[in-house]
Amino acid sequence: MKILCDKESDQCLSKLKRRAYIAISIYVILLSTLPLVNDVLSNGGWVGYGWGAYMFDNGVVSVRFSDIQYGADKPKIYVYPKPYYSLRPIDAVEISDYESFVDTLNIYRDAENMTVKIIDRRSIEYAYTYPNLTLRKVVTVLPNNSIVVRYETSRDVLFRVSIWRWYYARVAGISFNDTRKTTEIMLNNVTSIEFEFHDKEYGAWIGQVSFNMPINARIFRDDVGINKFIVETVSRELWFVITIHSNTSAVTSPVTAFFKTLLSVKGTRIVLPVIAIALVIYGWRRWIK
Amino acid sequence: MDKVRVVLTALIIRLLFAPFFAHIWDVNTIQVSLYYFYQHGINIYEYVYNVSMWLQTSTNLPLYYEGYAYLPHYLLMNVPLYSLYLTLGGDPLPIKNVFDPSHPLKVAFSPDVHIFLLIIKLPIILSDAIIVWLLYKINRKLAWIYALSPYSVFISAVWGMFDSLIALLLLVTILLLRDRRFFEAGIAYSLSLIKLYTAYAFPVVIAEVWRGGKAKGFIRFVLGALVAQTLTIYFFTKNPTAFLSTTLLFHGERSGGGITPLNILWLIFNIEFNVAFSKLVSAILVGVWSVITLYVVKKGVSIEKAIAISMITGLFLGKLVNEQYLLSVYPLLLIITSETHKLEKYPLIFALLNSTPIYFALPLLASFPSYQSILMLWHKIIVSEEIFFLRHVTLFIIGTLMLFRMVDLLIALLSKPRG
Repeated sequence: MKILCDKESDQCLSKLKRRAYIAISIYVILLSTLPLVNDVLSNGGWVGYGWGAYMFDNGVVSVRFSDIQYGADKPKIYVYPKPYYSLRPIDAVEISDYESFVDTLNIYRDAENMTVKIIDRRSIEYAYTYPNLTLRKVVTVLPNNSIVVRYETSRDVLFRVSIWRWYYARVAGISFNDTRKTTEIMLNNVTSIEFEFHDKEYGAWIGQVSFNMPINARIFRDDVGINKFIVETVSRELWFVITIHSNTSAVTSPVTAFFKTLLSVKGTRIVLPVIAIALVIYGWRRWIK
Repeated sequence: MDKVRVVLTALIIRLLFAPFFAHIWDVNTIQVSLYYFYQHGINIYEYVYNVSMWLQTSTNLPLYYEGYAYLPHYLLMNVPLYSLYLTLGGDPLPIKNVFDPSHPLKVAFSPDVHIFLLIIKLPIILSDAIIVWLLYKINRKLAWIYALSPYSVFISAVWGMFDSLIALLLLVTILLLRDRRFFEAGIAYSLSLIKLYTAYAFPVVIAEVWRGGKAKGFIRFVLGALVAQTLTIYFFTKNPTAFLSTTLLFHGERSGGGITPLNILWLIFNIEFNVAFSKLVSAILVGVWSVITLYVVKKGVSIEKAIAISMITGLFLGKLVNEQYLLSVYPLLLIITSETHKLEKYPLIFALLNSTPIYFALPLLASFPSYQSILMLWHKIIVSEEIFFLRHVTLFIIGTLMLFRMVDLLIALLSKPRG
């Protein structure tokens, strides 16, 4: 082996093997830290990672246009329980383009064309084109961790925007029990709507949606609970601010919260470097010794 | 008689699996390419390029549509078979709703899908059978190992990927070079470039040609290679931008992953970061591959070993190691080392964990009345964070072990270059 050794011998082969494994081991351990490195670099900014898949995460709030793997049509909002020792955020609400309309047009399905652009670190823009109409939707995460969703169209339209959750405990003070006699309840000329939900691990949460103008809203339920409210207004522009915070004094122990949520995407950031070191030791014992 | 038995065994096992299983995305790529090319006369490279451009324009991200990214020969080889399938009254697109990455939720099949899968996999299965036949000439045991190899059966008959064809062409190239038939060797090697990764073997093949045939042999080899690439030249001249973007740029720009520890990039939700890091790994790989290939050429290593070394370095130390890559060198490795069959568990387990058995069995499951319920339940399982965690941690472990294993093999091959 003249490249790395002077002569072909067992001793030389052993030396070459050791060098190669040291290089590979360093490579593997470095790789295992990459997710953590990226999390630090992209913290508090929108990043794209696939077809229609974008994410904002700052450790307090997480907004995703996606499931874990697939791009989708939402801003789906997640919140991290205070004091942020949970590795997995709580699924809060989603604003689904699949279930929202401008006039009679379904925002997602009826669009002839759609483009997505990260316009600054905190804002992402979706531009939809329909016959004789354009729609611009901008989602911005504010420094106080509220989320602004802004719709702008090229002419006056009837907006019908669905805000979903499985399930709300209350919307505008109305509980599931209050809706027993009807499938929907109407709210007229309101400028903000409060909602509550319960997470089985982290207790009660309160959210507020504040609108730029008085709107009408309809609250819907299914057999299990209240699952959406639809905001309606006629305008060229509709925007609202969503703020969500915990409403419970019960605090889960940091250790419990950590281990209960370890099997998660964020958990891989901690587990993989440990596994990389274990693998390097195993590889060394298995193939070098 | 034993030779016929082993070849028939290889054929029968594969033909039994072929109609009922598929890697839906990859087989759909072939289906769509045949449909647009044969039924509508569309340049398939333009189609893939246009979808990629649309993706990039609409998302502002460095995304490429993962469509037909090979040289045209494989597509054209399938045209008569697709034509036969249509003549039999087959649905032109028997696999439906495969477009975006969330297709596993929506995919549906026409009843013709089983005939389609069987017909479309015939060249791949036939390649396996010829490999078995060639291996038998060298060693009876090797032929049986390949015929019964779960990995080979999985990639060819279950997945529907054509790396056994590449393996066959590499094997034929070596046999022809040994016989000093340089023109035919040029054709065979040139055809193996259908999957461009065999370019990793280019310097060692050329060195062997020069060593064996000098200038005359070299000219014959180049002529053979050019003849085999007539179709490529035709598609290239029709739209050079689309052709180069689809066959070269896509591979250069795509993010890393597969059976390598670099599959950790699948856990990073930032495509720009992933692409940048993948390019860095590729740059390092080019350096390592160049040094090792140069060494192999200088040492005058036997051609089968030289091809194996250069291919292993390029394929398994690189940014993207797909499950099927090992198959392209599998018959060669069987000839060179008795350890080969121990390697196949890594890609096999990796593929089953990564894509899941349900995904491969969708054509079979679609005939069950509970198909939609199975899809929904399966989707619910694979998107849960706990499963996501367990799957990706395991994939990282397999990727790392595979890297260690391949480095070990590489050093073993390099340490006895003339053995």
